[in-house]
Amino acid sequence: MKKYFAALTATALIGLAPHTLAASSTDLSVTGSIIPSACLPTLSEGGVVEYGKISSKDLNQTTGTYLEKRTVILSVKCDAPQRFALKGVDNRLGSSNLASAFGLGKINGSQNLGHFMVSMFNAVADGVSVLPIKSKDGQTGWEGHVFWMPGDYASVADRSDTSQPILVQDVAMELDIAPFILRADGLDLTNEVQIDGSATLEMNYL
Amino acid sequence: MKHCLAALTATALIGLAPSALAASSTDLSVTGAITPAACTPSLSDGGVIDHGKISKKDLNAATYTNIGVHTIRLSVSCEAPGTFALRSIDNRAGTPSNRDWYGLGNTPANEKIGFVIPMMKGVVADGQPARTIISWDNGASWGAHHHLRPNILIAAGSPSDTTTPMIAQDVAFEIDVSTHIAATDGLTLNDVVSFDGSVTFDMTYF
Amino acid sequence: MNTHFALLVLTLLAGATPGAHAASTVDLTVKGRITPIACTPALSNNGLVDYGKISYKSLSVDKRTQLHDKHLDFTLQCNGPARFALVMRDNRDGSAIVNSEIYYGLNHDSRGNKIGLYSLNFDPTQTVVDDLSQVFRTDSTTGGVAWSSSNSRPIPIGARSYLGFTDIAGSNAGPIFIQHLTSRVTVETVIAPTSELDVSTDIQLDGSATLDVVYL
Repeated sequence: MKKYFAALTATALIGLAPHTLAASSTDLSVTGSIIPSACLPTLSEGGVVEYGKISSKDLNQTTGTYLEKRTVILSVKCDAPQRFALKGVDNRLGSSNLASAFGLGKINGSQNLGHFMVSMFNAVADGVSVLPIKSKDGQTGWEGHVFWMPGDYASVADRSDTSQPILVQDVAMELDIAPFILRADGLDLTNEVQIDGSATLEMNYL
Repeated sequence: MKHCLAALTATALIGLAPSALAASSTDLSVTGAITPAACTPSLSDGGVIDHGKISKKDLNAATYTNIGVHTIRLSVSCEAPGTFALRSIDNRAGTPSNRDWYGLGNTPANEKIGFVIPMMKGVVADGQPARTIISWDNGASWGAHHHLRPNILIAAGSPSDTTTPMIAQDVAFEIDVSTHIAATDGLTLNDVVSFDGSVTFDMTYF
Repeated sequence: MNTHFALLVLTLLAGATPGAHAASTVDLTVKGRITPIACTPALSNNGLVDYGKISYKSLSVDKRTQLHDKHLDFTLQCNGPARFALVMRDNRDGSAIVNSEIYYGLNHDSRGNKIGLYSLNFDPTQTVVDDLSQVFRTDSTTGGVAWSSSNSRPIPIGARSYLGFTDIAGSNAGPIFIQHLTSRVTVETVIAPTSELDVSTDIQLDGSATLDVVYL
């Protein structure tokens, strides 16, 4: 309720700002648009990649361990042709040892456990093979790139022009998930440790 | 505005196979070779022992009569050195008057005529003396033995190890075959009665 | 300013987080557990079952021939009581003459024909667990979520179904905590009819599988 009240106040202020002195005023514009269509992103298997229980003795002591790569299918269904950008948000920000990969949580709230990388393959939009592309800000600098890093926006483009997300309605692509556990001799594994990677893919409309 | 929050269902497992991690796995290998090298068994004298005609008066009325011993050679010739086993099959099963041995068939009045006892005399494998070994359990275990019984396996064993068939290319078993007619008190011998023992030695997997 | 516009503005101001419409999201979760528990499996004779040389003539031409059962001793040692299951991966996947998760391949002959298959069988009555007087087996086709009612009948291990052990018959609770397990296991091998093989040259039986411990 408080949030709405604050917004109401802001509105009230905007609405009541006097126009008396032209040089001392400046205009605030609030713009946007409401589009009639929506795009729904979903992940296969409920978006859960489960590695079960792994014995710490099976981890590499000095070089780190790559867990088996798994593939999930990302699908985006729009109720009308739409350009979209999906932002990948790392919900475990700060727990990855690599900026280009998502975190897996921390041991005892202090030690980084490792990371997982996400890469995009085999995108198909409305029956046509397309290319996954990504951008740092979701607006510009789109490029065809396999790795989806935390904070990146992902979309799809025509194979002939990777600088522009295209209008699509039904998209599916494979996401390869490749987790890496840091060298075990640097981790406190005396008690059971959770592998706890979590990312949210947020839909944005272009 | 509709909220398109993709539902997160409870944990689903993607791929049940654990990663190939060293300490928690062990390997099983099943090896062997099927060779084209074949072994061919043969019997001396075309495998026929003919007792000719025997008078009823020369036979014991109240007990069985041994009507003669013939020595035959059972040869096994292989295209390449290997192990082999022979199964001896009584083609007159159900007719030996002594059920430990091989049959001679029945009289027209359905009486068991007699039985045949093969006894191993000696065996030579690739020019060297060897031992006849027998298995009662389809080749699971072997032991040296003199007498052949229906359905057992026969092989050649080295004199130093009679627990397993030896590797050989040419083997010759010498067998003394004795034929016994049952007590004539129990046989209807008004007309000429033919007796007809038949044993097959079959190369067999063991 | 009508109420509709005001509400619109409210929604935009109240709901905005940088760059995202919170309304349409999906979560990707990567999870697991790393445990200090370790179980080491081992097979006697280094896991090698060797049938030696078999003359093709001693095999059936038009039917499958079952070779002799071979036995190995399987042992599992854990560094503490552990709840686990066993599965076995076929390193010659696709070469078994019968397609089933319990049949493992012997590879192919020189013309690409499948040579045969083998299975690895566990018998609870030939299994010793810690200091229990009796052992029962249970299995799960759901990755450990649900377990079959335990019994003492032999069972072949599979590539996907989990095999577990318990001390109670008729239990659906799944495997109990175990530290040591020993079992006399049986390999049963079948060769294809020789009419379906190229027997003009040596055919190598080449089965290879990896038995894995799955931590539950």
